[in-house]
Amino acid sequence: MRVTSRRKLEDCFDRVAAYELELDEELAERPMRSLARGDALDFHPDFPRPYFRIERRRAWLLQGVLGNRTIRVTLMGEDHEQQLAELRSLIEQSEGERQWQRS
Amino acid sequence: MIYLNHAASSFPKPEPVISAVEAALRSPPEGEGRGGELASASSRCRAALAALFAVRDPGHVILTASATHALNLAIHGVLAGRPGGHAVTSLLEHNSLLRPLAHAARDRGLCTTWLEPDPEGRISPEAVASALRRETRIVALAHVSNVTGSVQPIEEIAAVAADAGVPLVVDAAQSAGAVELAHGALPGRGFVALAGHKGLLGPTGTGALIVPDASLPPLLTGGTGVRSESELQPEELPLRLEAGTANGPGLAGLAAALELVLARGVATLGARRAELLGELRRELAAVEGVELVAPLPHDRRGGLVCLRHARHAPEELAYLLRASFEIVTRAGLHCAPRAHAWLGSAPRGSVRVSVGASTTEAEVSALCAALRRLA
Repeated sequence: MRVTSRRKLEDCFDRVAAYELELDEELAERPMRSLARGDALDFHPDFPRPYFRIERRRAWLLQGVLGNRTIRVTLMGEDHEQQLAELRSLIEQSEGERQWQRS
Repeated sequence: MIYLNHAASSFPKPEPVISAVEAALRSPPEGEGRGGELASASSRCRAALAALFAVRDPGHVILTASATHALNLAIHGVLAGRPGGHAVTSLLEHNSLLRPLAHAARDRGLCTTWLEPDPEGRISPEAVASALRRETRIVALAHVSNVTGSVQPIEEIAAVAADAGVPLVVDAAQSAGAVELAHGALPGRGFVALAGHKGLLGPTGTGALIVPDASLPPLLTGGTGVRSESELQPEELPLRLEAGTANGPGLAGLAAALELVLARGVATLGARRAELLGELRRELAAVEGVELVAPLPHDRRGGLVCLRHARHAPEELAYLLRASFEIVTRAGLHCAPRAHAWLGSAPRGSVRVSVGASTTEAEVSALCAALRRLA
């Protein structure tokens, strides 16, 4: 799974640095769980669109719904570029659904 | 999608508004000079706004790009000419009113009194009266707060300002189209700034300032299409305060929207908002984990409520509602930082839920059902 673009969200999120990351494939449960490994996962498969929230303390909060090609990330630290690079690397190392199907 | 963000902008726009914008975009923008469709749309907007706000002379309706533009025109205009002085405003104001005052404070030494509302978010005329000083040059207040939804007694406040000979600037961005206001009946020098795209149902990029006379200096100078031989901006209204090519498609849409609002009636639209807000309040009271940021005002025509959730930060909750439940609300400080500081909801703010002309009871219930699932 790859991050194809990122967009800073500027829509009235006061004092919050939030970005939308676009992925090259729809997010499925397996890669979402892989992404959450070691972090706090709050997953609601019973919601109208299955919602997840992954929090890494003092680093970031990821939110999204399965089936979407985007993830929303809220950064909590100071060095946003470094955090985004770390997150991108984590996403790209996580096992995407296509990758899993091939293996 | 369930849209509960009408305090930011109304959605969906009525079909006649969409058709009018499209027709304007497909038509040549101007006839000879600046006549034709653009002049027609401007005249229809002025006439309809004059009818909605009981303005004696439609020429006193200045068409602007937004309520922010209108407030800057009014505030900087009223304060122009000499430095210093004193302003009376409240803690509930939007940045579109706060920032012009803050810039006047920084650049021209304006001193400001910030009135604290009562627990229901109401600014009393007595509080305004007691804040007035000999050097007070402006009273500037929102008719309806975009955070508490409280409706201010503007007519009574106007009487207090008029008695002191102080101009009153009213930010009617949230109230226009839902709470009646008769400019012609306001005593003294009243300026009313409004947005075209919220309760008035028009396109974004439209607004107006209603002025009592031709005393304001222009904020912008430039082409007017007439009196071109004059090096200075024409003196007469509305040309004195309107320069540059107008937003033709926006005004065409606004004219169509205003005619719809006139046909339905502001009182009817306001009563509908109040009814929906009452329903929302009743249902929210039973939702575990939800806390209202401010008490619901007695007068509910403001049509909005701000809430927080025990388990979700405001921006998280707004995202969750949109992404999973397809319900659109608005998170943050709502451009009213002092209001949230006063309410204790700064710095993260709250989630604002606001109803409008197209909202249904089923949509209000769907929001409450979604919130119940988050408990």
